[in-house]
Amino acid sequence: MSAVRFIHTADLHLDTPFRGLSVMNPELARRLKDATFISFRRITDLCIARNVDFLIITGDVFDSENKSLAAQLKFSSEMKRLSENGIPTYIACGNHDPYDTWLGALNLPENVHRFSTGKCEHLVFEKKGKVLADIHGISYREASVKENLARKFSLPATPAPVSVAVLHGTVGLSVPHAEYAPFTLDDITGKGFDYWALGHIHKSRVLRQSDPAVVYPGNPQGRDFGETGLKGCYVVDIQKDHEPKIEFIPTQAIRLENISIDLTGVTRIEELENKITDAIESFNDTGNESSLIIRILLTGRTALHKQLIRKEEIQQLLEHFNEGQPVQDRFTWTDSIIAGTRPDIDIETIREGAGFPSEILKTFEACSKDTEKLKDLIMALEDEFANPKAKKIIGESGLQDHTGILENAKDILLDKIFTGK
Amino acid sequence: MIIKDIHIDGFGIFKGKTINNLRKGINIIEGENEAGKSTLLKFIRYTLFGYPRLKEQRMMPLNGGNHGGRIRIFHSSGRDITFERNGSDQLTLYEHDQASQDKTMWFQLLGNANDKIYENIYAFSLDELVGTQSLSDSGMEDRIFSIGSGMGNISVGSVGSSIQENIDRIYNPRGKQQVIPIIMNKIADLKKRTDEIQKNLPAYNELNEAIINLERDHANLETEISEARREKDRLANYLKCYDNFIAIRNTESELSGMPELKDYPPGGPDKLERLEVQITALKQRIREIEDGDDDSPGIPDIESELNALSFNEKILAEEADVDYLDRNLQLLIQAVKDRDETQKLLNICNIQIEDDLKSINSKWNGQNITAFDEVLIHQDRIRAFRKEFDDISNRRIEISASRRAVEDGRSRINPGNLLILFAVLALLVSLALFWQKLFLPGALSALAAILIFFSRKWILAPNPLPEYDNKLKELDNQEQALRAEYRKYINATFDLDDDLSTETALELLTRINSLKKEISDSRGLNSKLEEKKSFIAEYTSRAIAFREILIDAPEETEALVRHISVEYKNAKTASERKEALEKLIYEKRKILARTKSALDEASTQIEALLASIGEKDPDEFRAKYRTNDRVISLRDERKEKLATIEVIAGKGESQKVIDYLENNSKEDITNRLSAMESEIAGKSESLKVLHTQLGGKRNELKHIESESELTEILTELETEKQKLGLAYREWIENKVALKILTDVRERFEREKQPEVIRNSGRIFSKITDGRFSRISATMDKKEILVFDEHNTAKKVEQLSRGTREQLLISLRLGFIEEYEAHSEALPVVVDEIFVNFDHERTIRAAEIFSEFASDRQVIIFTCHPSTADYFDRKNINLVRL
Repeated sequence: MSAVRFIHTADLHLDTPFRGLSVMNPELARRLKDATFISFRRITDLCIARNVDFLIITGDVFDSENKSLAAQLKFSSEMKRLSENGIPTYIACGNHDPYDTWLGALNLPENVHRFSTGKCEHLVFEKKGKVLADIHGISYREASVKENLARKFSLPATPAPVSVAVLHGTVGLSVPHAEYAPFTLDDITGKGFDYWALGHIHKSRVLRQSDPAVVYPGNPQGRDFGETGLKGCYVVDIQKDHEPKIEFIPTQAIRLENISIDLTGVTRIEELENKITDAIESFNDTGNESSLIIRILLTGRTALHKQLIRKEEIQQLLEHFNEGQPVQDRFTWTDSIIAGTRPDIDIETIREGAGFPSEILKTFEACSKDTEKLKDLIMALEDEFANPKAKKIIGESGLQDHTGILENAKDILLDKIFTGK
Repeated sequence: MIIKDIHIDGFGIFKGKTINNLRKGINIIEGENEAGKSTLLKFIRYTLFGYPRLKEQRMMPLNGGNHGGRIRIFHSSGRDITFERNGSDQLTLYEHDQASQDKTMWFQLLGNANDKIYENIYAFSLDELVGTQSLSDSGMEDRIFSIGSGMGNISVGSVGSSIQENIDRIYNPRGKQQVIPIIMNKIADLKKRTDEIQKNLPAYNELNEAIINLERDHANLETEISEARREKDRLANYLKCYDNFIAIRNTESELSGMPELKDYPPGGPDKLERLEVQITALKQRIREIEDGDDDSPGIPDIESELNALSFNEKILAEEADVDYLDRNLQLLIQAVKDRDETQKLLNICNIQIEDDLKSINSKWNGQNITAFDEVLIHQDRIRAFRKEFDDISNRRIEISASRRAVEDGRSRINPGNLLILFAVLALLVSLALFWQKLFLPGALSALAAILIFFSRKWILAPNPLPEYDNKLKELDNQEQALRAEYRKYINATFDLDDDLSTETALELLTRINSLKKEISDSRGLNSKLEEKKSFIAEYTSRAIAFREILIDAPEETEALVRHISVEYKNAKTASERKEALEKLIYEKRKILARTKSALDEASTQIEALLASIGEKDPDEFRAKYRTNDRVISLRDERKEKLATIEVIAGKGESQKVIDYLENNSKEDITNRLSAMESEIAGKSESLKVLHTQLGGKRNELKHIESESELTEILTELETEKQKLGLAYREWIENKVALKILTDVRERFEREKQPEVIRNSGRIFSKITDGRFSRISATMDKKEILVFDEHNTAKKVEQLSRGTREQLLISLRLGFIEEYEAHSEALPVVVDEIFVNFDHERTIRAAEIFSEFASDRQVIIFTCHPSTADYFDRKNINLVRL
């Protein structure tokens, strides 16, 4: 008895755009825009289906920078739905959605509680007149919080059978280093809570299984190619004096993946196509109801290199794989195919030769060894780019991958010399 | 290396072609056009460096043989190796009879040169030289430079420009159509759209508040309006009551002048009226009864009619008979007719019967016929007789026929007589024998004769004929007997003696049958006749009986009957009328009595009525009632008007209304009313305005709530940023490539160039016989200059074609020298390059080549035999294809 079941999620980032896509398509755009909402909807569906006692959302429900009205309104309607099903929600505001950025006119139902700022708030969950759980939490007032909020949590004199702490921030291992409510694992383990419902880190992790359980649920929907793999929420069952049951359930609408395909020895385009299809197939086996967006990196030395570095060839491949895709219920969209292959030119022969091409090759090699000189060369060229606005968008730090740039420049040149294209 | 031998198995036009003993120095291969020089050149290139991928370029053997061949070389290292390659590009290297397919060795042997290098450096043809001429200025220099740098047909300049094109396509400081500016525009546009939408967030809170305020104002105004309406309605009602108010006032004043209300029994005047009317009617009624009216006569009239009535009573008593006569009159008429008809028929029938009787038996009469029974049985009987007769006859015929047959069958020869003859003969024989004293034979023969004679009976078949005859006789007897019997029968039956055949007998029977029928018909007719007659008699007698009680009755039956009928009807009618009239009088008298008594009753009632309010005179009575009624009606009217006021203004309000109307004039009220109305109108207008504003704000709210594009736009924005980054990177990469290209080119020229230029300059000077001293390339690599004997610089386009070609050859050779400083020497192959040279130039060129060939192999293809003349014949290897 006196067990509680709840779902723990965080970093919904409703209405945040996708970053890092190379190509847009109206149908794809439509599917992308709905992805975070669909994933959140699946979470609320899960709450109802699993008959949970309450829902915990640890911060970053939306990005206040985006100023999306729709995000807040849609969130509100989902809250109404849960409320109608008798499921309360406990929300801690995070760095992206601090307390004051929530709409004043947003009518959240009665049993949706946003933790207040400043100090830790203690809420009580009751069922049929019995107190089943204490839920402690604190919200961010502004975007950057540098104090250690974990220190503000403490159990009351007569705690409930189950105590849950809701905190948005970064847990460092020994020395806290990040900007968002940094704290250490030691800070939280001794406090006597059963479960720390954390948020902020987008990769889902169970840091500790029990005593106390410490969990980052991660964001339920990836937004760029750094957030690949399965995304979802945790269904948690806690009973006093028992080990908590923590179950991950994927809820994402769209899954992002980077795929690397080695083309060494591959001579025909059909083989390449088969390899890509196989790679895509391997993700379809995981039984998740999500669509897929992939970036493909081709590697290895192959006779196909000449074809692959031609943009039209890549374009055709992309079109081939993307044909009819975003319209399907579960679609697979190939964002880009990066040809990291190397030409099947016999570099040795060229280098040994005594011609202009050999000089070129030797110069490239010399350049790649002297990293300082290379850096100077590239920076000097970057300075020639006289569009400050564009520069700002691209990033002040400029291009970092000097070696990669040099390699590509070499391929461009050699290609032109040897094939005239 | 040096090519020693060439053996072609099958390649283009060649089959099994061998060229041996090529050697270091000048080798001239001479052949007509189409002899296969280019083919041979291709063979050398393919065999050494590999067959091309495209099948059509591989020179499939046209005349048979295995596709491919061998080339034997002497390597600079001293090794003697044979390259064997087939048309499928399979290479085998043979050295000391050891075969190997080691590609690495192949590469090494060739000094890591490939086909491109070979083509670009070592093998040059007329086309190239000619082709070069047609390029424009910088292109030509570049080409020369490129040839010099060993890049063959790809010019460094074109590579450079191609890269620059990429760079320019992506970004150009002032350009607006490049990839990057376009992306930037897109980004700016998307940002603008985003900003627009993001304004919605703060707007939402504001709108919400504005709506709440507007709603409050709206509600307040509504309340004010409804209050004003209520007040207006109240006044309007008062106004509506005004007329009633006046009416009430009037009523009250009239009442004040009236006497007290009296409690008269209700409906007095009505009752009086009714009674008076009743009396009038009763009187009228009496008059009518006594005197008669439009509908019925008065009593005296009826009485007089009654007296005048008279009729025949007697006939009335005979109703049954009259009825009978009437009903059956038609029957009578018909019966008379029938009787006559029937009589006729009967006569005819009887005559017929007479005749038929006679034809059967003149003695017979109808009795006999009637008594004749069982016709059918007789018929059968006679038929049986007939059959018997027929049987007998048939039998007779049968027997006769058989007898005849037997008779015919019998032999003409009478066997009995024959036997007798034999017996006689035997006797004679015996006699003869006896005569001869032959006693024994004679006795035998006599015995035989006796035997024959007495045994006739046994020998002979009985004569059947008599039997037949007996039978016939028997039959005759039978017939006789039968006939007798038959005749007896006929006699008994028909009482006839005649010899009747069976047919006739049968016919008689038939006739008897019909006669029977006729007789019965006659009887029928007879009885019918009798029937009719008796009916007629009966009827007539009944009719005649009436003559006694009628006067002027006709004689004839039919007319009589009609007369009777009429008379009867008249009498009946009159009698009924009498009855009716009597009844009528009786009734009328009864009514009269009743009416008179009612009249008395009514009069009494009137008196009582009048007395009930103490009056004797009806008019006074009426007047009193009238006054009283008026008082009642006034009082009622007042009550009613008050009730109406309450209906209009509300229950219990009447006093308030009256008080108000007492104190306020109609005019005042009307003025106040219109003032209220304008106030309401004004406020309603304001309400409408508020309502519109509210609607507008609500729409706005809905609109911004429904906006859903933001994420899409933000994602698109991110994508554009990504594209920007990629484009930028590509730009940088191309810039790097260009920079390095340029640097290397400069360096190449600076370092490598001199060597090549020097070599080439030296050769050029020689080949032009000193007319030109040297070559130089400018630092910006745009120009190659040649300096003539006077050290005047000349640009390439200033040279004549022949000189240009010499320059090209010099450059080539110069580069070969430079190249070989680091690599395995390969055979130089030139194809028809002297063709444009004049005599002088050819000599020069030949000299140069000879010198060049001193420690190299040079193979010259030509179709001019004269070419060989330019060389020292002793030192050349001449091969004719």
